[in-house]
Amino acid sequence: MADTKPRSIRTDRSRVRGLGAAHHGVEHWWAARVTAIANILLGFCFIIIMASAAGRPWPEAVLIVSHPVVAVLLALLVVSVTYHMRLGLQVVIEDYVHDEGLKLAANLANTFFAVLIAGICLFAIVKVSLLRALPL
Amino acid sequence: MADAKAQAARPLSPHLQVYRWTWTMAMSIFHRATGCALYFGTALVAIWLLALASGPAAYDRVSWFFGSPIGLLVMFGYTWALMHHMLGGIRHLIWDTGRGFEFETRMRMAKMTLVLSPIVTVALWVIALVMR
Repeated sequence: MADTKPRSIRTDRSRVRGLGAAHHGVEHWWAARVTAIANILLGFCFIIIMASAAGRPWPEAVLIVSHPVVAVLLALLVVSVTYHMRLGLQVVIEDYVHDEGLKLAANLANTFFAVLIAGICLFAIVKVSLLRALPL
Repeated sequence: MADAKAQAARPLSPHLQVYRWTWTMAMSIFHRATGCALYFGTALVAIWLLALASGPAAYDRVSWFFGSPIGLLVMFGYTWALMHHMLGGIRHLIWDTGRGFEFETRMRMAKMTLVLSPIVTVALWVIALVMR
């Protein structure tokens, strides 16, 4: 009697690692969810911070943003948001850009934009935090 | 080259225009559109933070823009996009647990996203302006 069980050339090791054909597993999907939940929590902190700081005279706005709790929350938000938006736009690019060269360029531009925004925001948060030590 | 031509001649699957609009389809498109808007909108946050870090002169110029009617409109729209994307995201997180796929439930959740996002947006602005 021949063995009629469905056969696969997939190795046991590959099955255990669970990374699938794309070799990434659920990493992209999972990271989008983790950052989404972080964004909900940090997003409301952001709204409260911006609602209290925006439009205030410069010294007052600096005092709010340079408060250690505010600065840390803003920095965490920047990291979580820029990571989340990079993942999201990557999906949009992969859905609509079919030319391999264009897709590569678009994905690169996506990563560069996200990192640029993160870099500018984090630099600004650090610089504003240091202003707290100076007499304003 | 022959391969590329053969590929191009193949019939494509029908796209958006042939489907009857449904609430879930509309909210899926809204989720993506607000996500893209928020993506580029982060530049506004970066500009504000950078101006604050640069000093009073730069900060006053940026504050003037955000305080102008156009600036306020942009910030209001940004708040709405943020709330809509968040509510749509919560819908996705509920679906991720395997719940909420029944016809009635998914239609109700889609409608709630569109109804709640302006309500939450206006509520946030009223609270923010009253607290000031």
